[in-house]
Amino acid sequence: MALKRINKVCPRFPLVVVGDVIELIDLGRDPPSSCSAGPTGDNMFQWQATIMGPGESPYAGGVFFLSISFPVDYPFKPPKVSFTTKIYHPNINANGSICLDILRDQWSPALTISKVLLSICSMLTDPNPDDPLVPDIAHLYKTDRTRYEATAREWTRKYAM
Amino acid sequence: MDNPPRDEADPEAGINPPTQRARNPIPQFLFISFILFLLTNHNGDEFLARHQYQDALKTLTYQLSNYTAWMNGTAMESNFTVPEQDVTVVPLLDSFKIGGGLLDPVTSSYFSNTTGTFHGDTKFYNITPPFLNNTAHEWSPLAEKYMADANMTLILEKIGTWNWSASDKVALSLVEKPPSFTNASNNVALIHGKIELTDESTSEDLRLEFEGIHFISNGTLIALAQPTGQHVDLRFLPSIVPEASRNATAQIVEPELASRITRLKNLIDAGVIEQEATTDEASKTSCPFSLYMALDPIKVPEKLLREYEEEIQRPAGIWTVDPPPMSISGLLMSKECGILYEFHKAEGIGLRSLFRKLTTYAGTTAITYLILLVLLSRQMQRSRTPSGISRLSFWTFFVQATVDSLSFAGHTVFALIADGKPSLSLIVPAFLACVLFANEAQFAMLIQQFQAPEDAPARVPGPTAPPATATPDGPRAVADAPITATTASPPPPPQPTPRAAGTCSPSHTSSETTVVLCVLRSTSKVRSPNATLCVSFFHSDSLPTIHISGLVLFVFLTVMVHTILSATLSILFVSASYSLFWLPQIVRSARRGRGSGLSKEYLVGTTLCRLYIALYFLLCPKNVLEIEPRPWSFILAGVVCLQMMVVILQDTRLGPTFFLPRQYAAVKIYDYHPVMPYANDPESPDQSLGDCAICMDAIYVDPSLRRRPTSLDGKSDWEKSSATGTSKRKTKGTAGGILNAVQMGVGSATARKNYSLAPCHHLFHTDCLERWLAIKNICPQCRRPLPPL
Repeated sequence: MALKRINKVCPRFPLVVVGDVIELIDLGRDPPSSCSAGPTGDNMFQWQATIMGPGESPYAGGVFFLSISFPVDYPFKPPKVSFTTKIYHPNINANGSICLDILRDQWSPALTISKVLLSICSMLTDPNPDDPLVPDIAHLYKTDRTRYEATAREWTRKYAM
Repeated sequence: MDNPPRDEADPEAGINPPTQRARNPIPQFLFISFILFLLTNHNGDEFLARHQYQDALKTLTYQLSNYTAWMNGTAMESNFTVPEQDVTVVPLLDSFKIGGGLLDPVTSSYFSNTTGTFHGDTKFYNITPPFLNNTAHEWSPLAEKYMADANMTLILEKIGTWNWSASDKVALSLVEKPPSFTNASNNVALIHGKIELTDESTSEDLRLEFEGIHFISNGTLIALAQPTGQHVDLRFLPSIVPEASRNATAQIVEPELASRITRLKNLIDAGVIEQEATTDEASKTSCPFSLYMALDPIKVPEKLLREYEEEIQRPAGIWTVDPPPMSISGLLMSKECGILYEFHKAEGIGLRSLFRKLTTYAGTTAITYLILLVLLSRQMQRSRTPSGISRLSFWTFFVQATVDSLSFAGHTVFALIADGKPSLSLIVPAFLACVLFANEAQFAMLIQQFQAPEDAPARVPGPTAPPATATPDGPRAVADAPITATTASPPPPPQPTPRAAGTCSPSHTSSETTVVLCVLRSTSKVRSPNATLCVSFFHSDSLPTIHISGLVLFVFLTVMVHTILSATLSILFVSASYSLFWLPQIVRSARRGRGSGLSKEYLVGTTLCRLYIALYFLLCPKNVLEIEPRPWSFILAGVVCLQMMVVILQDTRLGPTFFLPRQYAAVKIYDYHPVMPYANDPESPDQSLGDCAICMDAIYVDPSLRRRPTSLDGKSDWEKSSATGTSKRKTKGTAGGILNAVQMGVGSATARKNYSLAPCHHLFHTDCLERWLAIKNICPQCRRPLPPL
């Protein structure tokens, strides 16, 4: 079942940037704006994804790579998603691990990779400093937003461009 | 970061139920601290207590100084003297045969350590002069002499409200301070303790405290008693002892007074201020008593008895005699009130037997708790799955956890406050009770977590909800709505609001769009009417919730604290909690129409073990806590067993509602496989009801009607089959349609099992949903709780 479902959700479309016209995005099977994903090789359980840094965030202009690995009992268990590109974010640590509830206990089998990527996108725009993975960044985000944004922009320029 | 799917728990209704309430920790913290403050400080005036301590210290110091003066013979300065012994007492004691004599140490002896408790019947005599004249006891003249200078008005003043003649039970608890070896005479020991006179009719107690002397050689104990709260003046002890032992008594009193002063000073220095329990004994009476007791001699050579007592104090494992139980006889007299209580052979539970009992109790209770623990862990293993947990009642486990927490607290307290090594064995059941409590509490929380969303939809006003889906791609959502019934199918799902429900079509697209929309809406911080509504909902909801939960917490803590402190409340609590032990489980099973899923082993084992512990205290006449047997405990046991039987029977073929009348027994079991019409859309590519959100495959109403795909590619197959699908649809209502309907009707019984429609109108393959429900009991698409499949 897992492989069949992975095949189903495999977005075979090129990267589409739709911008703000969100109503037009049909997320049934299409990839969301500014995200793309696909298998890295023959192994359908191992994917690579890219996220374009959202325009209104300090990550704008960056292209972030993620690795996705599907468990054998997908979609009943969440896929493992992590950033391979370094990113400065309160909910993403140095290993690229993402602190996102839908990737853990809030997983639902109705979620698709595109929705997960969209959630990650929105997480880039709106970090959740109350449930941080990197407390230092979360603290900075809460106290000194401009410095946080500067660092995030710096990291994006350095690693994601 | 927002959590899209969680925030979007209810896309169709358009209202986000406050699944995750923002809690403001500060008011809650303040509230809890306030509660704790109230609980710990319920009398509040530590200042007053400190004053009392200092006053007591002053009095003691004063007493010691003039007592020493009296002993040194410099009594002139302090004008304090100890009165001579009342000569009239001795003949009176003799007539009651109280006052042991010296024994032959080879054949018989007295216990030297009298620490223990004594219980016996007592007889009341009124020895005020007017009464004595009317009675003709052989000792009457002696008593008359004793009461010669009594003052009736003073007697009436002091005697208080206590019903003296109704008291016919006496209980003594006695603690002996072993004679210190520095003391010259090894023959006297200080004793102190409490006397309880019980009025059987009202089961009220009068408590007296006494301080006295134990003459080890002849087995007599002489003490001064006062109602609790009025301190006994140790200085007067020498005045009631026989002339011969007066000096020895006087010598032992002085160091005791001195040591009390040091102790009190230390307490005040250390700041340990304990509030003395305010008693109402003062209102009952203010009579001072003198207590004359004599141990009944036992037929055991003195040497052996001493060996035995040594063994109790410092166990070495040697074999000793097994002496008969201690018993004591005595007189409790009040010259000031004209009261005389006589008790004979009050049987004492000596330390040894009490310790043995305690150890046995600790052992059996520990085993019982161990069994309970094993049973619980096995049951937890069995009910691990979400569906298993959804069948259990939170309250059943919560009540058990509460009982165990109380038992843990009780055992620990007794293990620590009761002195002596054997009471430490109570730590074992206390520990096991604690482990059990932790497990049960954890399990109860797990159950609650799983079942928490059950109540959520009830609070969402479903029909009034604005159709949120209509806004973004309205035409599409409407098009997907499978409302029109076909000729063959009976009315669609038995939902109360089919129209409102129509907006949430079983096709995944519209609801998924809502998911995303909600995500984006919340991320872009758009204050849509939807969002404001959810904000107002949250505000109106959260405040009372905090208050109610705080109130519940407060009441609970208060009850717990008071329960541990009071014996009657403990019994009430135990009986109340035990009587509704399985009741929540029965109710839950009956309401949900499913058996409990608890194994018989767990049910029977837990019931028996818990009843064993409870009935030991409620029925066993000689239990360690000396709680009187309560006849109603049989009823309690019966009720609990009956409940257990009901829970067991609910799991059998009788069904969970067998005990209810038939009209109430009809439990609405949700039908996951209602007859579904096709989407009445001529443009629909085929007969699928949409895609299963889990496997993303199309769901076909009837596989037999479905055209097998001819090509390998699923997508192109859809297009190809669309032509035939449309033509079929067009013939509906005609003869061909009827044929079609008949075919469908035949196939539908089994074919309907192919799909499952959740109560939230999300459609899945039955296999897919089953696999998901084994992991979590919520709808994959909208996260609402789902009934068992």
